[in-house]
Amino acid sequence: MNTIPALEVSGLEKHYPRFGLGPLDLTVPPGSIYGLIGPNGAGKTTLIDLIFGMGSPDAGTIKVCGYDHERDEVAVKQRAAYVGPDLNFVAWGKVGRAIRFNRGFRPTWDDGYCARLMQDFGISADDRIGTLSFGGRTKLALLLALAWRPPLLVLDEPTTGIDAHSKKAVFAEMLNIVRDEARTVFISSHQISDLERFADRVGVLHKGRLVAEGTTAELVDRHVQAEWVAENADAFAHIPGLTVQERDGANWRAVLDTLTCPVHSLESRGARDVRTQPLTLEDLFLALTQ
Amino acid sequence: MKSLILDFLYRWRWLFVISLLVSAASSLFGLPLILAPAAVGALQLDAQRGVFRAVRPLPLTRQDQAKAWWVIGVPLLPLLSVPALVLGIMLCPHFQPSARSLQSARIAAPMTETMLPMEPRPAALPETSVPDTEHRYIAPPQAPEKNRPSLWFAAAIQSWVALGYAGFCFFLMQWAPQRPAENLSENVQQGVFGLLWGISMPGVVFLLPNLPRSPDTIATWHWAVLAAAPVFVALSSFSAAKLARQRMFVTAAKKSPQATTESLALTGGLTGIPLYIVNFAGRIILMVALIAVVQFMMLRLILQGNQPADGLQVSLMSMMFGAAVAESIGMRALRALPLSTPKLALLLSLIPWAGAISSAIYSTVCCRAGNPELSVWVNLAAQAVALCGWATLALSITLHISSSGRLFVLVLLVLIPSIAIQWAVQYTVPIAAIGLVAGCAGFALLIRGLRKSSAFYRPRGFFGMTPGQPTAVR
Amino acid sequence: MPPKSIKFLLPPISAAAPGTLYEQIVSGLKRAIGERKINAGDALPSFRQLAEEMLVSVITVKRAYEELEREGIIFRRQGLGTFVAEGGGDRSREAKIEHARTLLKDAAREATEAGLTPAEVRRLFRETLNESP
Repeated sequence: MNTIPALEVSGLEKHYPRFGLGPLDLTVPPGSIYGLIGPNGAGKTTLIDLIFGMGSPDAGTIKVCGYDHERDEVAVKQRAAYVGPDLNFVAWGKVGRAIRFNRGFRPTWDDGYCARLMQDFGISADDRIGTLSFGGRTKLALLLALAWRPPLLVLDEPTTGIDAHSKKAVFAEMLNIVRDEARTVFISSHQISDLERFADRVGVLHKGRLVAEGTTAELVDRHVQAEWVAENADAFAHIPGLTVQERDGANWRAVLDTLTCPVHSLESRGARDVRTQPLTLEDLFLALTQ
Repeated sequence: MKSLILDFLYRWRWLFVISLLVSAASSLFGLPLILAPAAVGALQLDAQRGVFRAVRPLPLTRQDQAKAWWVIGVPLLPLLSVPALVLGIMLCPHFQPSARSLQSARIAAPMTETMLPMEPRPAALPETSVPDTEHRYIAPPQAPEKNRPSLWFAAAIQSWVALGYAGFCFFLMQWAPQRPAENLSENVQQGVFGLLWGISMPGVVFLLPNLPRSPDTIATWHWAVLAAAPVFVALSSFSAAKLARQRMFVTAAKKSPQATTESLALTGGLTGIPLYIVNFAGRIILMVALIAVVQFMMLRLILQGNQPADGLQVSLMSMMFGAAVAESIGMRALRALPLSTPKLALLLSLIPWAGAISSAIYSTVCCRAGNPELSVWVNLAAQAVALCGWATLALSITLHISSSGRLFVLVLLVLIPSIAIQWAVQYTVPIAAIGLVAGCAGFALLIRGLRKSSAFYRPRGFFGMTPGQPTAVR
Repeated sequence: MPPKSIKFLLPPISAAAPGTLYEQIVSGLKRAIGERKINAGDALPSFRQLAEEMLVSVITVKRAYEELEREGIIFRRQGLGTFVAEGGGDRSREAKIEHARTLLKDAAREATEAGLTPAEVRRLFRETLNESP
């Protein structure tokens, strides 16, 4: 059983004039789909860019399948594929030429698989890349990343601008990828409901820090939305695990991490009429990142 | 309307500052120059980014908007440059008083074959038609007219023609493609436009310095140009309304066609790095060849013979094209490939090097630029090294900037070595040495940028020539 | 015995259907096993296979299998796969009956809270039974 994590980030820090990422620790076990969610500007793209050497971290390490991302940059890129929103193949003219260029760098390229993907995505080799819509270009980038069966597939918002059919095809491909337990998918996305369904593990990034991480099921089960009535405001201030969403006089609404702040502790602090409700991942995300 | 103009001035302020500096400095050195199409180029970049569309909902009539765009594109820069020219001219005699004594002798005498390397004047761009100049290796221009009446004349001619040139470029803009070509005729139209536009922007370098600097040097073709200027200004004012109307609509991308179930005929072709080289280095070699041929024909027909300095002009343009083509390849896609950073830097540099070497061949072999005492091969080697080095430096600096300002930085970066090389082209060893140093610095900068710069990987527009959707802003 | 394609034995997993994703898988499998569509001793698809077929994450399937294993309906043999346990069918049925009893209790409570007498409640149940397919 392969125990080397597909992606391991330790103590990663990167500082910009107006934004700071980290310190960040994140581990993606092999054979899983890891979803990174976060509001705009949280640092998802920065993290992914750093993996591929676009910019250099100020501190910390990134390891892909055990290889350091700076010392062994070639080995990393032989094992990881990148799909992102600003990938630009327009200079190559036609789809076929872009494919042929990329093919030359990937010994594990599978022509048959590539042909099938082209059919699924509705792209043909003679299409001019300049005429493809935004979704079409994303599909091309996905195709170029999928066809050589990378051990780690890193996706930065791959489903923005893609129609529902292709999106379903993309997720089906992703599940196909992790089928053999040796290959992994790391995806950052805004479509939280999709990730809730397909991701094994989820990390929530907010202002450069990871505010929640765990298996999807665990995260969703652990947190509940609670409503109660209480007059004493101080009893509920600064409790770890309690994120107050709204308060109207004596009526409270909050998100509870039941591991650190169980429901009964609310009652012991003087809450009455406590009602709880499960949360979707999206609700949880909104509560944690407001 | 005024607010649109002021806003444009504010947004492109550094462009105007640089143009005015160039105008002032050039007239200081006795060669008044106005970067005529700069404002139109900036306008095209704005249009491509959707500025016209963004302005539309403002409480301005469409006519006012069109008028504002016309004022910005055509008369604004030339008019603003006039004071700069005046300033330069007035300071000129104070700057180089020693040359005054040579003036009277020079004006009367015909062009001599003497080389004047010690004179502290920058070798200017090629001179106008003068017969029997076949074997010159450096082309000293007509003596820079240090006496003021001639300078005023030159400046006046410059301003007039600059207005007309800006009008021509503005007029041309109405055919700028707004969506990718879908059939053969559109492809041809866009190709023709691309060619004209691509030449017109830097082509000012061909035209403006060749304008007459004193009344006795006016040739027939000059009259044609002078007459054409007001025509283009008028034409441009009529096209302003059409242009404003055109750019109001969102550019539509073509829907991707249904997939054909043809078999994938991908085998049997070049892949990977060889494909890259053939595609991009090949592209730039073709571009250089095309420019060289055009210049060759034009100069043979109009000016009866090409000067060594003209070949160096092609080198200037090849450096710019080299940077532009290398830049158009998506940096992100390249970075994600399993290539070590130095190897990637090498791959990127191959493109400007291909342009530099092919233009060096043109300039030494066809235009005989260089030291006549050394063999052609030595000259070729020296110029190739010099140009490759400078092109690498220009590319790496340009890549570090992701805003549209990089075009003008690129022009500046490329003007410096071109002028220097023209002036010192007989000093093969120094120019090669300096070029080598520049190249090493550029290469190191490229590697550093690939690793650390975030500007490298930001989306960038393609110098106002890409049709279709405005570049994405993150 | 090779694992059957479960796709048509289970209802499609959807966010629109009641229950969370893994609960839908659990109840779908219980139903299929209870109705003897999958027999004792039959092999179930691996986590990843089922995940791919139902378009859900592997961890969801794992959870569903774990719950079924806990209830004794299926069992895992390391290296061989997952199989329906002996008596799994009965246990499924029992589990489902237990669940139905709970639901009926809830319904009875709702109905009495609404003010219906026991006789009216019984009539309500009979009507709904006749209506349901």
